[in-house]
Amino acid sequence: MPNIHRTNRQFPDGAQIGATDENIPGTAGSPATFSTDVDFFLPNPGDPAHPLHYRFLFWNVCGTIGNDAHHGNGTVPSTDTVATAWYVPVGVGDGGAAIATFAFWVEHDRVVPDTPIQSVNPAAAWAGGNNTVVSSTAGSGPRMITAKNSVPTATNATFDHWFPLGAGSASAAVLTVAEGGSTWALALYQHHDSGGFRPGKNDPTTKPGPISKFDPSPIDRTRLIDILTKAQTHPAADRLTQVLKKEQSSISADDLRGVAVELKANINRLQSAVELINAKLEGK
Amino acid sequence: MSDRPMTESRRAARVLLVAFEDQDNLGVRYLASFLRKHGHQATIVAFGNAAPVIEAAARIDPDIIGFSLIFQYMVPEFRDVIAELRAAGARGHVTIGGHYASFEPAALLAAIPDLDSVVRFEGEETLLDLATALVTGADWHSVPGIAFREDGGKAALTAPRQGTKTLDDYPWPDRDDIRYEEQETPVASILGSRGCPWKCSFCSIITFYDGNGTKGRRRRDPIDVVDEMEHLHRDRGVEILLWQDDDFLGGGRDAIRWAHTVASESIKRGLHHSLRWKISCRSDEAKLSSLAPLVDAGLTHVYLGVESGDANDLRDLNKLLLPDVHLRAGEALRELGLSFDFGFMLLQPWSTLQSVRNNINFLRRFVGDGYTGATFCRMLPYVGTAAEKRLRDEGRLFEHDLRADYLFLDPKLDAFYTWMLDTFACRNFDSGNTLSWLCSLTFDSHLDLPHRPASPSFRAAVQAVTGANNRTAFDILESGLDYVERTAEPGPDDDFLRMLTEIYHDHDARTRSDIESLREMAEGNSHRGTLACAS
Repeated sequence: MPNIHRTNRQFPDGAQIGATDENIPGTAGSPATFSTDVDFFLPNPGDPAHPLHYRFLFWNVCGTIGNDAHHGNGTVPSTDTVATAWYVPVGVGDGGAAIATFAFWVEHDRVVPDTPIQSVNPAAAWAGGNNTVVSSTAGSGPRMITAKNSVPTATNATFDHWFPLGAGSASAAVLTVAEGGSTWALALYQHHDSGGFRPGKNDPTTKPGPISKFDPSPIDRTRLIDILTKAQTHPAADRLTQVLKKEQSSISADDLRGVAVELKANINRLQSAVELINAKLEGK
Repeated sequence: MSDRPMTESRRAARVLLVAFEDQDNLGVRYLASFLRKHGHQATIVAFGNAAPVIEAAARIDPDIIGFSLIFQYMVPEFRDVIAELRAAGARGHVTIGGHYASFEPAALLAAIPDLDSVVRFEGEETLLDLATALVTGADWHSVPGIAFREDGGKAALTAPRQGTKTLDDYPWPDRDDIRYEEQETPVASILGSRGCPWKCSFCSIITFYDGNGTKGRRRRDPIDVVDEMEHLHRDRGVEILLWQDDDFLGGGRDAIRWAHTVASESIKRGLHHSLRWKISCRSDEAKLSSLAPLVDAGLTHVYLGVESGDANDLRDLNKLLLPDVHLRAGEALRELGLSFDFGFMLLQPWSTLQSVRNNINFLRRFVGDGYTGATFCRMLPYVGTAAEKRLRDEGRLFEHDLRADYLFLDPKLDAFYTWMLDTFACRNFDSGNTLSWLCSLTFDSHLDLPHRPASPSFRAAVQAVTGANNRTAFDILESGLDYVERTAEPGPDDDFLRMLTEIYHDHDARTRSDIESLREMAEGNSHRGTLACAS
């Protein structure tokens, strides 16, 4: 039976806040719902008259990111998972007209130190490199921030979607924030098998839905997708195209033999993918 | 044999042994324990660059420095290390042993000027006599079983030495310096026997032991063998035993009974719960009835001496069996759930285009399913073998820098081989090659220990990746063979062959990527640390 590790954490460093730290038994495949307070106070030993004040930012419930403090929803996977309410200390983040981005590794429930930004339009709004902040005043027009498909720290994870924590809207890999706007935004990175905590619902490889009760494990699915993707993009297609583009009279038998050999190599890989599937269906 | 007790007048010889240590080098470890049993001191240092050898020699001031030469082609490296050792001031007697040294002592003495002697064939007694002679001031030139340089520079051989008939007089090999506890899944080598009853033309084992006067296979007392197994497992924490016997089942019914005694005694002592084995044997010995009791005792992997899938090749190799026997062995191993790897010479000096084609077709039937990685190479004419003699008699053997080589009878096969060597270097021949990874993963995927149970899904994934790679390799080989057959004067750099190379290299890169995924999967399954121990 998987456990759900319930905590409150400070954004973005992940320090636990308060005494909430418990493991709650869950049932794989069942919905999980949590509720927390929008405002969270802790005693302030240095200034007892002014308790530490935290404001709710978002939930990570079993890998589902949500911004409703009273309804943090997710689906319990087959392995241990988390339900983390992320808070920010009140008074932080008033950094002027800027968009602060954070690469959030969902499976590991933490912010990673890499920038999630691939490019920004207008280009003047972003200093490039590993900068995570986009100016909302440099250049003109709305800020269109394109996310990287992957970041170094989040090994094997890929970009899933933007999750603005304020202003802004996202479409695919592009986050758009109006000129002059100020906000925070999470770029969510997820992968297919972390070897530990593995949220089920948002794992892209599970989106087609289970094949059967013998559904391959996530790492098998990842491998299958890799096999199929590489087979589809293999240069064999290019070699075939190149041959077909030749004048009919200049196509040699060796040209065709080369294409045939390369296609066979593809077939061999596809066959291995079929064997993996069959092994799973046979319950091996 | 010099089994003389120590006397007050004789001090212990200090012996430094230098040898490869990829796996426990039992050859020098037996020498070390035998010397110690007779009162001498022995220190083992791994062969590599000269520095550790020089450092050890400076520390020990050895009376004898003994080198174990495994590969003939490494003579120049040994020559250089020995020269550096001498230049650094080492004064001890320098000797060398091994198969090549035993068969070609004169060539070796000529090639390595700093060498004092060569120990021929099994070395325990000879090295002991040499050590004793050197510390007692006796004339070491009369020690049987050695070669040395006479005053005129010519090599002289002393009388041949009769090897011991029983191996039970030898103490267990010295393993004190091996840190098994530092290995995640400790692996040790062990020997239950020496020699081989077969007479394969490409192999020098039979002639090596002939030279020692010990024909056939000598087996140890099986109870003593299991004592050693138990010691390694219970006292040293070893979990996997690699039997280094040339043929663990060789020698007919008596040999099978011996192997089964080892198995039943292991089970009686409870070793089968958490100790696993790897053995080597021939295809005609890999039968259900022979292997099943060994599986019960922990056998998990078999190295099979297949060598060829063509009937004419097998005759040239004097394997005394037909290709179907290999296929039946493969079926038996699959039925028992054992992993295996095998030796295979796609080309040998008397190959034809048809025999190579038959071999490729055989490999498709044998391991086209990816049950294990398909190896293929060319036979090398090792010194002391019947094949080397036949090539020499045919006037086809040429030698250069102590390396013997040959051309094929059909020049088209020379072009094919050169192309194959280049195309499949990354797969079969280079250090860390793709095949070694596939075979290691195959071994790993079958290994079932209490703390790391085998995973069927991991095994299926390894087989799928291996199958894709095997089949593509066969397709490329076949296309290359078709090309050289239909082309009047093929060259290894012809455009079509280059294209095939490019296609394979592309596929190999993708297999490497798959291997990375499999390794990550293995680590997720707690399989980390055992990879590569089958190789």
